[in-house]
Parts: sequence; structure tokens; C-alpha cells
Amino acid sequence: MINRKKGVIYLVILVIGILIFGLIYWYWNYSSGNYLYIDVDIKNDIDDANYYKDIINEARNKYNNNDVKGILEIENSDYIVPIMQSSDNDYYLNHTPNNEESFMGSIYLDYRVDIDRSKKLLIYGHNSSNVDMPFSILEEFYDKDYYENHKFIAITTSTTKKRYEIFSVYVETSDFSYMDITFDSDSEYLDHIEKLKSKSMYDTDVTLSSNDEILILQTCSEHPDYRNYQKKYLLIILRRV
Amino acid sequence: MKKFKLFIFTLLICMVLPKNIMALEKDFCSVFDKGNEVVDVNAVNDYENVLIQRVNDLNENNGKGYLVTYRYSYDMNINKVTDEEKTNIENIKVEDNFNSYDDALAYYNNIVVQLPFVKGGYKISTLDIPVVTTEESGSIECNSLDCSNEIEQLNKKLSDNQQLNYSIVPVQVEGTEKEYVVYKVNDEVVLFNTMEEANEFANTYVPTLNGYSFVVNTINPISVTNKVNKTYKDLIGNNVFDTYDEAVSKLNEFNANYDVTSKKIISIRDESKDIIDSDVLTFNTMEEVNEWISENKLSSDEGILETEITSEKEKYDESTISGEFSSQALAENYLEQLKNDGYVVSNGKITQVSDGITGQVLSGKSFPSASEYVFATDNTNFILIKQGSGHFAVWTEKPLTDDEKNLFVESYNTVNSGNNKFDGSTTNINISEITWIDGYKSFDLSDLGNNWGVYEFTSDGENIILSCDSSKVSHVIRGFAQEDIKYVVSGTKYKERDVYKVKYNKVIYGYKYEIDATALVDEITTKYQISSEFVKMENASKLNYSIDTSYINTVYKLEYTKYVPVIKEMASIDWVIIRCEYPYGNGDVNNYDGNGNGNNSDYPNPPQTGFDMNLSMIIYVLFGGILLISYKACKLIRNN
Repeated sequence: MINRKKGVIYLVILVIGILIFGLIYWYWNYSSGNYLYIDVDIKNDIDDANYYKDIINEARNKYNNNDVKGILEIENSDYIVPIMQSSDNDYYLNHTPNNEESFMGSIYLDYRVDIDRSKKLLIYGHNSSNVDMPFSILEEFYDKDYYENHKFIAITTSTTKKRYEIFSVYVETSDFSYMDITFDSDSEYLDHIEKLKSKSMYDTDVTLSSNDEILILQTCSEHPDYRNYQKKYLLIILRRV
Repeated sequence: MKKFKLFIFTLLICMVLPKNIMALEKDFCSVFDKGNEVVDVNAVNDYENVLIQRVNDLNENNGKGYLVTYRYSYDMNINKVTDEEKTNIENIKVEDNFNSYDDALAYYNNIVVQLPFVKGGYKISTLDIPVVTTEESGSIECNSLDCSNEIEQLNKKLSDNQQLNYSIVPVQVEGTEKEYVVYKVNDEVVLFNTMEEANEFANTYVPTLNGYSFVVNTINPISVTNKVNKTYKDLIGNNVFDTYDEAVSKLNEFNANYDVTSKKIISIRDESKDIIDSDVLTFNTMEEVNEWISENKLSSDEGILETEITSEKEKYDESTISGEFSSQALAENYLEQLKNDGYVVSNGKITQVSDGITGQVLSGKSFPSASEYVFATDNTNFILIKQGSGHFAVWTEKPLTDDEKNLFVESYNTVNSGNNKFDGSTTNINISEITWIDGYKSFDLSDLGNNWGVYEFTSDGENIILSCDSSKVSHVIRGFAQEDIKYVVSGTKYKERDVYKVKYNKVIYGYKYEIDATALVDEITTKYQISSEFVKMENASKLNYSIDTSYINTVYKLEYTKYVPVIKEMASIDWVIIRCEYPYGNGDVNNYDGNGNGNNSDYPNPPQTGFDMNLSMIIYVLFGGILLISYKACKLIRNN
């Protein structure tokens, strides 16, 4: 009888150990900071053709992946992550920059645009209310004070470093025309970005023109006001400065 | 123990839950219906509207399930395809028959239709055609009028599928009786002048004679005598004569021998017999000219006189003029007197020349013994030769008179004296010691003594040259004496008068004489007549026949189609209706726009960046389980 109880005790201890090991393993593997963040200090306005190219190449070497097209950083924060791009908008939805399959996915650029030449860029990333996902940080922009201190976001490509200013923050549930990247005229383009600005949940006091290059960061909203919506995308929309 | 079992149960549920249950939008959706439809590309929107209507109806009428809300959406995948529609189809039957299937197919393959038509399909069929071919045919002249023997012979040659077709034609054949008919017009025999003319006609002339068959035309020559006019030339020969009398004599002779019908003598110009006189005559007056022209004038038959009259000056009484005058004035007066006398002086000039020395010596100079002396005429007009002692020779161009000789000796002694003496051995010479020589020639003075020789004087125009034996000369003095001057007049004198020159060309025509006469004479000529040969025709029969063979020939007929292809653009629509399940209370059912996930805009749907999992619940369960197990484990250890 005693031996049987001892066996049960050892089994219980073994199960506890496995559970604890599983938790640690879980945290270690799926914490976004563990695989996503990169440690690099990128300067502005460097007149050296190889400077930005070397930075991107270094990132590609780090992840052993040539899909690294740029680096995204939110100013006044330590958020600095690689921007991936594939031939569709699905691959990096569930693959890390290391090409490993993961529900965490990556921060990635819309397959239709060119990070250096396109006037309009769209970048996507996962968000969750339970886990620290790659674009969970965007939920901070519901707070206008946070916006006031972090209104500039930069994108570094292999040729330059582009700085953007936020002009609209809102959650889209039904009109997905923000995905549109083709416009027949400057006036149509201006109408488009003015519409995006008009939906902002707070006034950013930014004036737009048809010459503006814009950047849209998209993740799923976990805001309780949109709990009952099937599609609820948090959009942070910026213009290049 | 119950809590422990609950924990283990919860843990197992969490472990067996499908991994993808955490993705909200995917796990509750499934294909409700799907299909494919090919429609005109312009009808895609209409078809999509049908799908939208169906989705709306489903959302409205079938939106509620057991414990869940159904939401329907659709998606379409459109592939554009092209389809060819055949229009203006034409079915064409080829008229030609082909001997084989391959021939018909090759014909079809080579057919080129004009755009916009293109070739369609083809059909090759067979056709049996009965064919009758003639193996043999011909005509036979029968021995009898009914040709029965000939028909029987042909029938014997026939095989099973052959048939004899024939007809008997009554014909006429040539017999043996012949008839000859001479070609006539209006009952007169037609005679042709030449064999060629007769031949030409006979070759085309086909005469007829009732009951006879024409055989051939033959040409027969016939001699015919006619009176014809012949000319003197034709009958005698030469009819041209040099003189008129000769022509008259010949014509009379012709008239006596022939039946002359016409006669005359014609004068014919003969240029070879023309007399031509050309010259230039000089007349003093125009009247003399006109008189000469009048005398030599010719009629147009006689000939022609061509004249050219010019007026000019003529020289006469022309002679050279010469004269010597002691002064220039006298010479000029002479020339003036000639002009006053009506002369024209040509090349008249007055020349001043020396008339010899006067004897008055003016200067002198001595030269030693030499074989040749050359002295300029400017300072030398006499030469004194000294040889031996006591005698001299003095040369001048012209001989001196005695007075001039005396003057010469006197003045020589005067000049050759005192301080101006130019030769010491010839001072005070005496005229008796001097031998006087003159002129340009050779002088033999050996008579003067053994020491004298021959001395030759010549002139080159500017110098006097003395040549001699130097041993015959002691020394020589050349000197200049005063000269006499005379004026010589030279030139030509003549007188002038007006005259008329007549340059004429006189041609007196020459003639020959031609007899132009004709006379009637008999002429025998050969004519040609045409005789046509005929042969009499007799009745007979002719059998025309053919042997025909019958068989069936199979040929191939070709039919094909052509059409105008119209390429239509079609859309192949793969459609699917998705049904998603949501627990009651979730999903924006009220605001659903009816399009679901279907997106017909030019941009894709946003990536599904939402992520949800009941991780907190799992963690809570795990920690709760750990705490529970720890509690049980501690309790178990303590109890033991």
C-alpha cells in the first residue's frame, strides 16, 4: 500500500514537472520579444548608399531570410522589428521571420506594394488580448496621450530611413477600401486618405495632400467596444514627413 | 479525489482540443454549396447578383441554427476563357468527281477560303456512274446498198458488254467518166497574162458540174498576136545624138522602115558640152563696160552671163627715181617738182653720202709692221704705206684729182710737222714719191721694188681692212682727210587713174538631141487558160458504226463547310457559398451587408490578424491543477 502511494506521489511530481516545463517552454517560444525584436540603432539621413543596405543585410543574416524588406520602429519606444514580405498576404500570418511555422506570425508588408517605391504601404501583424503578439503594441494608440508621445514611426529600407506621422487611428469593421492601392487620379487618392483621416477616433491636426505617402499598420482590435464584430481591424494611419 | 479527476478531465479536454480552434474566423466556417458556371463575360455581374440574392435569402431565412447563428457569404473565382462560335455556315458541294478518296482529301486540304471564312469539316462519299465508252468507230464503204455483209462482220467482233451501233448512209462515189470545162466568163474564155496569175486563180477556183465531181484545175499556155506601139529606143536602141542633123537623119531612116505613129526631136541640155569663159576685164569708163555687157548678153537657151563690176585706182607711168644733188635743198626741190607734175612718190628719201676726200689732210697716226690692219671708217679715209726709203703708196676709196693729190701732199706735210707730228719718217713727202691707189681691191706693187708686195683692201661696212705680207711693210699711217658730201634721192614715182574692173563668168550651154518616135509592130505573147477536170458520180452506201463498251465507274464526291468564326470571351465562374457559425450574441449580424467575406472590389480582403485563445483559462486550470496536486501530494506525504 505504501509503495503504491509512493508511486502515485512520484507520478504527481512528474506531472507537475512536465506542466512547469511546458509553461516555461511556452513562454520562451511564443513571447514575441524573443524572436521578433532586433537590437539596432538606425540613424537618420545618412548619405552613404551602403549604410542602410548593410543594416538590412545584417537583419537578413540574423533571420537567415531574404524576405526581410525593412525595419519598423516606433519612436520613443524600444519597439523595433523586421518587416517581412512574401508573395501573398498569408505566409507571414503564421510564420516567424525565421521561416518557422507559428501562430504568432510576423510583421509583414502587403505583397502588392514595394517598400521603396510605393506611395501607399500596408503592414500587418497579429494581436491578441491574451498573449503578447507582434502588433499588440498598436492597442496603446487608443490612448491619445500615448499617441502624443509616440506619433512618429520610422521604416528603414535598404536605401533610406523614412519617417511617418500618425494622422488617423480607428477600428474598421465593414469598409475595407483602405486595402485599395490603385487610384485613377490624384484627386481620387486625396479623397481616399481624407476619408481615412475623417474616421480617426481623435483629431490629429494633420493636413494632407495628394502628394503624401502614407503607411497603414493593421492588426485586429481587442477593444471591448468592438467585441461583437466579426471583423474589427485597428488601423494606425500615417503620412511621411 | 473528485477535484483531482475534474482537473485531469479538464486537462485532457485542453490537450485534445484541435490546435486551430483558436482561430475565430476559420474553424466555424464550412462550404455550404459550390458550383461552376460558364457565362458570357458581360453577364458576370448578373450572375453575381443572383449569388448575392441567394446569400441574402439564406441569411434571412436560414440564419438561425441550433445554439448558433449562421452567416452566409459567397466567393467567386473567375477565369476568362474563349469560345469559338461558328456563324454564316455554308455547306459546299464540290462539282468535280475524284478518282480516289485521297484525291478528294488532297483537294480539300488545298482549298483556301477567303477571310473571314475558315474551313470547317468535310465529307467524302462515293457515287457509281454508268459509263459508256466507244472502243472503235469508223465508216465503211459498202459493197452493196444494204451493207449486210459489213454489219455481219462487225457483230462477230463484239464481246459480252459491247454493243454495235451503226447507220447506213446513201452516198455517191466517183465513177470513171471524165469531163473537162474551160473557164469562161460571159461565154468568153478567160486568158491570164502570167502563169502566176493563172495559178493563183486556179488554186482557189472550185467549179461545179451537175452529176460530176470536181477533180482538178489545169493551166494551158496559148500564143496570142497583138499590134503594139514600140518606141524608137525599144526598136533601134540609141536615140540620143550630138548634133541635130544626125538626129534628123536617123529619124528619117526610122520613118522609112516602120509604121511610125509619132515622131519628134527633143533638145536636151548636156552640161558636159557647156563652154565656160571667165576673166577680169578693165575699162576706163562705165559706158565701155555697158557696151561690153550688151555685146556678150545670152538668151536663156543660149546660156548665162554673170558679171561683177568694181571701181578701183590704177597705177601708170611708174618708174624709179634717182639723182644726186650738192645740197639738201636741191634734192627736196626735185621731189616737190615730181609731185607738182602729178606723180605720187613712193618710198622717196634723200640720203647724204660721201663723194670722196678733197685732199685736205686733217689728222694721222702711225702703226708698225703687221700683216693685217683694221681701221674704223670714222677716223680713216686714207692709208699711207711706207716701205723702204724714198717711196710711199697712198690708198683712198675713190681716185683723187691732180689738184686733190697736190693738196693732199701739201696738207699732209703741214699736219705732220712741228709738235703735232705723227710720223717722223714721212715728213716733207714729195708727190713724186707717191704711188696713188684707190678702191676696195688687191694691188700688186711689186713693180716698185723687191721689198714691195701685194696689198688687199676690203670693207666690212664699218672698218677698212688692209691685208698684206708684214715683210712688205715698214709701217702704215692711217689718217683722215676732209671729204666732199652729196645728196642722193631715191624712191618710186607713178600716176593714178580710176578704172572699172568687170569680173565675168560666161557659160554657153551645150545640147544633145533625142529622137522621140513610136511605131506599130506585131507582138506575139503567151496567155494562160484554165481547164477544170470533172469525174461523173455514181450511187453507193456508206456504213457509219461504233462499238461501245458499258461499265460502272465509282467516283468520290467531296462536301465541306466553311464558316465565319466569332471568338467569344466567356467567364468560367467557380462559386462557393460559405456558412459560418457563431454563438448567439456574437457577430455583427444586424449590420451585416450581405456580402459576407466576398469582396468584389479591386483589393483583397484584409489579412485575418485577429487571434484568440482561452489561454488564461488554460493557465488558470494549470495553476489550479498544480496547486491541487501539490496540496494532495503534501497531504498524502503528511498522512504517511
